[in-house]
Amino acid sequence: MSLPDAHAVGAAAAAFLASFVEFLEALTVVLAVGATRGWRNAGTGAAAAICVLAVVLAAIGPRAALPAAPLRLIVGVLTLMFGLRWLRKSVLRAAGLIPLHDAASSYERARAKLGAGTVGGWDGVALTAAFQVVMMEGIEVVLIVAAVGAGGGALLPASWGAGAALLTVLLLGVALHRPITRVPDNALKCGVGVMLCAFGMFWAGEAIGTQWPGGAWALPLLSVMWAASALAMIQAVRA
Amino acid sequence: MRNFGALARKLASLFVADTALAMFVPAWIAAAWLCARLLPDVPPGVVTFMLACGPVAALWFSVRHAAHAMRSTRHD
Repeated sequence: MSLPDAHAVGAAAAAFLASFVEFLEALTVVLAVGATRGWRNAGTGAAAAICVLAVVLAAIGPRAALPAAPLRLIVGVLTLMFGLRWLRKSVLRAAGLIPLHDAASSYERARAKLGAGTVGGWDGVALTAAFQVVMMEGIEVVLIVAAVGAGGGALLPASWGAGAALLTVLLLGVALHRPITRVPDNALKCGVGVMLCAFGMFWAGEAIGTQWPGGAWALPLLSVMWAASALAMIQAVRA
Repeated sequence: MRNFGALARKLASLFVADTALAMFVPAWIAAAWLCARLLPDVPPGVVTFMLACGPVAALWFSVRHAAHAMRSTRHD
């Protein structure tokens, strides 16, 4: 596998997994908004946020694709820090030290918070709630797409990965109309953390002139190293 | 304004797992770069190994510290 291919496949996979997890969390609240305040409000708020995020991604995309080494170093360090945050949280969750994310209780909490509204008409509270949650989760998606795509010039595959995740979550939401609870949320987050750390380390290393053994094949090797380390940490601190 | 405040807080928190970890990673990568530049006799494999192991060790200390703090809080 050549270097661009390894980057493209890895970037698309990382963007898909990360976006899938983030959009699922947003879907839980959007469904609660729809069920309590009407589907038109929920759909409009969410669609408006997706449009804003697409504009943001299109705006930062060409700048993020610059091949300059300093940019690659900055992207690498930020991606590594971003991945460490995901990995740390998922290790602590898997070890039973912080509670796992529960989509069903998030859904009930959101419903209780929103209360009964005017179903049928336009509702500012519902629109804002749907817009805000999609924006908050979506900003993370935009950063991940920019991060995993920028270092190796794989912004397009990463965007396709995020788009596929959005479509999958939309279809699931339309089909089920209830929060999706049977997804191994923490395992997915751990996987994303592993991939982000591997990408970040690889790019930061390349930017400072490190010769990775195996070239592009160092990416899967770094992923295995991070995954093994995360599993060892979970075992070591398990409550 | 409250919504923008929440967005700004979310953005700021995205890169900081814990403060020590967030400060260590850039410093460690800068150290690896300096090591490669200032000490040309150091074999490249040593720099690669240094680069790969530092963040893993930092994550381990961060996780262990958080686990210890959480257990202490529970016992209290």
